[in-house]
Amino acid sequence: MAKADFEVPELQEYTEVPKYVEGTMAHSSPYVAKPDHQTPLGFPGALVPDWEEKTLEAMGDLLGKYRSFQVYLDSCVKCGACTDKCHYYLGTSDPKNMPVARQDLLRKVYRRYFTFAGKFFPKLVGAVDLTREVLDEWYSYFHQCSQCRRCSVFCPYGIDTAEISMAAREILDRIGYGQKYCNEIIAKVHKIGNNLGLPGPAIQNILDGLEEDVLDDTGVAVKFPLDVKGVDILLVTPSADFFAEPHIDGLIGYAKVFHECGVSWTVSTKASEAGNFGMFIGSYENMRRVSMRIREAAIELGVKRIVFGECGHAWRVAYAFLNTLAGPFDFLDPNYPVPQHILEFTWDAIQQGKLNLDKSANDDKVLTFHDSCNVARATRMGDKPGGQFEIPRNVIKAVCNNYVDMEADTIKERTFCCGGGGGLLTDDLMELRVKGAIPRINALNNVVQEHGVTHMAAICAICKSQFTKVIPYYGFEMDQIVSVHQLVSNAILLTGQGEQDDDDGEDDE
Amino acid sequence: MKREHFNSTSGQGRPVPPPCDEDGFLLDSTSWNRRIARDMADLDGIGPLGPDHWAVIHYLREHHQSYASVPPMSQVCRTQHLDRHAVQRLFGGCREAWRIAGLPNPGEEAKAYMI
Repeated sequence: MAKADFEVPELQEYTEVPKYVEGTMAHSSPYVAKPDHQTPLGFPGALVPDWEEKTLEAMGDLLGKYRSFQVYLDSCVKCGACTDKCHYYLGTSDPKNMPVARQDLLRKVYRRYFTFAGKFFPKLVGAVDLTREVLDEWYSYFHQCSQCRRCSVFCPYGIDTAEISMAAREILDRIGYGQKYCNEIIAKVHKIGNNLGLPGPAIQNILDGLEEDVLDDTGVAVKFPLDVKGVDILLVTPSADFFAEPHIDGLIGYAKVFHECGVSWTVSTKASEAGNFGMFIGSYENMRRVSMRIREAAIELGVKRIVFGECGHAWRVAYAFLNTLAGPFDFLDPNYPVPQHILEFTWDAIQQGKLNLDKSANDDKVLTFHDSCNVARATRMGDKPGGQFEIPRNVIKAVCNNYVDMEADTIKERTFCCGGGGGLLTDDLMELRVKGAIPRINALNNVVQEHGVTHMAAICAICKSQFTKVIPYYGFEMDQIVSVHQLVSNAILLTGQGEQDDDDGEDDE
Repeated sequence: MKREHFNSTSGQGRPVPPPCDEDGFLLDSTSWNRRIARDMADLDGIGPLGPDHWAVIHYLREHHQSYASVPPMSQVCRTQHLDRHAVQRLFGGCREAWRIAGLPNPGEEAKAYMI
């Protein structure tokens, strides 16, 4: 069991709505970005002296740019529907983690400076002056929102707290008060090409190692190509897939699927990152710069298609924004979706009978599936509504005999965040991450107890890492978290696998 | 686990490890030697360092020298003929192994995924 220097919540049969306790998470605040992390993103290195003025200027700019932002700030009627929907509120009891209260942190300043009533009768409309205290509270509580958008599902006006949270972070960045975790990582993508900072030769070394692994395991030479020109598919996947566990087992799964389908593919050094933290900090410009790497790589490599690996927010950026950020993609093959999700690719291959699958390879497991918030609430897969829920489940059921869903209120569009999304996957927020995971862990625990579930599959690099790190606090083992394509990898019988390999011209050692 | 451990440990005839950053990684990785590794492991409650520990440590250092990055732990274990969870078992996690190998702070995202 992992040790904690804070109180780990107890598992409950159903997540109960706690009575609020003021200020329980007021101390939670991630490390502030250093100048080295800020300036490559185009932001001031440190808090600017005239931050009050610059804050209001930035807010005014965003209000003019994003109509939705102003609508969200104007339209809340304080109905309370969102108050018990945030995993961070449920896990921490801090009332400022109620979505409406989080929005109000920004709204009260908006009202003071941008509305008639707030300018002249601030007390009547809950408007307050912008002070350093207010600013620090923004920094703390807008880094206690994982931008999962669960609250927006229940809001009768559709107010999207994630968008308000993104705007708040953009304002903070513009005045030189950015978050170290996100901004260091974005700077690394701009410089090296991926969040992990893996240079090309390191990626090549890893891919060579994976080729050897798969050859040893199966006797089949499955290729893991890097920067190969003229191939069909550019695979853009989170760099965690090159490094972390269970992510890397998913990458092996993608390669096996491509191999069996007989398509040529490559990963790219330049676009060696699917993740796009520009979204987490609400910065259109940084999101665009990160996305442009994918466009440039696709053109340079002359590919026909772009496929995204298992990554939640990356799929949101890809599915919803890639075309406007980095399009048009008229140089790609119009017969395929631009871009395509690896699960769409694999499900299509399964339906066409291209994969020889032995489901019994996963018989040592009883699976459940965690819907990642960005995939569930901001995107789709396939050509039918709800495809983003059905396709991952269909693939899992095609490769596993034992599958159980968690409670209906905690999956699909109502899924709970893993607790580490939205740029919060950092050790300096470990208390928040552990507490915020509790609604999901409660639901997981229920199916473990009632249905003997042994493993939870996920399709997001952040979810996988967050759960791997956090579930030991609740008495689970870290390897109970698996990639969906890890399950696919286990079940695929490659053409030639298991045959005698001494007469068929296998490569030498 | 944290930097303070190193600062607060003085005396006892044991050399205090050289300065580390806020995450406990050596500030100057060239100052690393086997004694420092043993001291860091001691302070972490790991040890004594056996042949398997050293195999991992040397592999990490060589990999870092060649590629300036963190290798996947599955690769470390495979090449060193160790079981898949060996780094976890030996060091308590790959982040700790990296730190004891005296390598520099690998950055925010690598830390998040070095479990």
